[in-house]
Amino acid sequence: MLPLSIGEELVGSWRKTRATAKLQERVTRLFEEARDDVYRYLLTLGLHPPQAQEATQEVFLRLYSALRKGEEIRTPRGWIFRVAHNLGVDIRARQDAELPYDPELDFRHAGQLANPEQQLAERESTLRFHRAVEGLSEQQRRCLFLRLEGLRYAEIAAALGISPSAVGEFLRRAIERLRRARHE
Amino acid sequence: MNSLELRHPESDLLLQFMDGELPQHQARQVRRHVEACWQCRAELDELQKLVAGCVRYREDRAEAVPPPPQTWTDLSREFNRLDDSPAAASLFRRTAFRWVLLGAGAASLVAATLALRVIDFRIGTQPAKPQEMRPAARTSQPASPASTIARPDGVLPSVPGRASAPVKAAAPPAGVAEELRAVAALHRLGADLGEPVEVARNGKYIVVGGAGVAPELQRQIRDALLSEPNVLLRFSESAAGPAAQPPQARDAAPLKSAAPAVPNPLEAQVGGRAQLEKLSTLLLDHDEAAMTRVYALRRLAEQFPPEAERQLSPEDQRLLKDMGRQHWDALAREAMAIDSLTSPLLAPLVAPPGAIRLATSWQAAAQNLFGSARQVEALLPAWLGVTVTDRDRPAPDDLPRQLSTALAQLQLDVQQCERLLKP
Repeated sequence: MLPLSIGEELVGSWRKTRATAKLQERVTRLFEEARDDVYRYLLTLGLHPPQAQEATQEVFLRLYSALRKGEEIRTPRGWIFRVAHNLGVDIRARQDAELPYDPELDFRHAGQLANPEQQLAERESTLRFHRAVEGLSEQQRRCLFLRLEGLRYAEIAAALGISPSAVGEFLRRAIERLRRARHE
Repeated sequence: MNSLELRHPESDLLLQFMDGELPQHQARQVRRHVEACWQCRAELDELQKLVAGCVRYREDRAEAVPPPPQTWTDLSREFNRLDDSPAAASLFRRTAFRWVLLGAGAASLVAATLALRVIDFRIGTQPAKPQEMRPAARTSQPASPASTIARPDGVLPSVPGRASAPVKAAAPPAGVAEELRAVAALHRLGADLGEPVEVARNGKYIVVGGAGVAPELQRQIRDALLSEPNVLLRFSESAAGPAAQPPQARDAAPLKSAAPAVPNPLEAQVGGRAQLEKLSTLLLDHDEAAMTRVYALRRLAEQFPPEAERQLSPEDQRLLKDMGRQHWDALAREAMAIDSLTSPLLAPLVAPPGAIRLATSWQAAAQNLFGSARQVEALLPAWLGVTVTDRDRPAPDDLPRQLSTALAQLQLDVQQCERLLKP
């Protein structure tokens, strides 16, 4: 141990405890705010609900450990989704043999039943739009979903391992495709 | 007015403009154009509607997907557990070193480091559910090899032609020798090096188990202990099924850490920052390997103190010391490597490291060794300037001398341990 007087050690220990409590409070608040979004995002990657929930918790434990180590995280939401994305992809990669969870199945099923009072034409238009989103390429969907979670292009790029300009291009193509579906 | 203000921006530019992704000067040009151009304002409005459609899609889907199967864990408890765990604390710190050292350019190595360690961070969404198996139970009738593994419910499988009632084990209380043999079996597998596997005597059983042990290792342990009587396997697994696999950490590509505010004088000594980073990585790897052995040796010493060792037969005593020596061998190699890397950079000591700590048993020597190795483990990163919390503060002037002393003490303790481990 480096030499410290007892007084310095006590003050240091008290500061550390206080800093730890504040950090825990901060990450807990972030967890409460973003956990449902992260969970749903992980479902879109094909994780089954129990896996998605466990991975979500894992992400916030990692956030805590990163912040505790003094890592500077300017945009926690971007960091959280980047880590969640990579973790989700890795979990899926280890389970190639297992059928991925398909949230669209639940969604399509619910879509057919929801809003019975909705105008038929409007419902059809909504369903067409949903189908168009589902029909986007993998990268377009990933960029779009991460953008929907509030990530900036650079953050999406970091999560997906592509350049920010590629993100812009994928998003443009996605929007073009959705535009065509909307006007069909 | 330039061309961008004259011509209609492409849709990608408009989207980026809407998303606030354009550089300031370009955004200003697009804004001026859009203010003047009804067509582009309509296009922006159209884009806005498409974005709104996407947002609605997200909301609709959020309502349709199943909610999380469990109530969310109270993470503050997990945080406290991480904070309280010395292993985790060390682990956090050591992982951090690598992040600081390597930055984003060496993400794969960082990922590997994290992947090895993340098992300790894991949490279960449900209380751990131990699985118990008896690899072999001493029964009144010899069982066929296939029937020696009890089912997870603890009931031995039925043997054709015999009563299918559970066969009660009639074994004498487990002793130190049985415990030693179980530990030796784990040692042969390397499961005594940083793996969360515990061995304990519990009445007539030797209980071998742990939480978060990889399924493949569980299988190997079960196979290795098949022939050992009275061994009870108890592994806890998360109830979440396949997700219980330790997730690999591809996330570990953090933003490159800023250079320390105070330049490390070692940089000049070794020929630059890149050289220092290489040296640091090497030294921390050696130190980590050494610490793994130090922990294993101390664990062995605590599990088999001198009074327990005396109860063993001469053959078992040799087995115990053999295991100790194997840990020592590996540790001595790592300590030597650390010494040879650091000695050219540290001034030689003018005085001996301090009071000589005489040990009368290899177990006591292992404890001394643990103390001095921990000292080196704490000082080495500070000397290298990779202690995250302190990297913006100058290291104390006498840090090199402290490290020299700690390394010398480690060498003394290594030698003493060797002497006492001799057959």
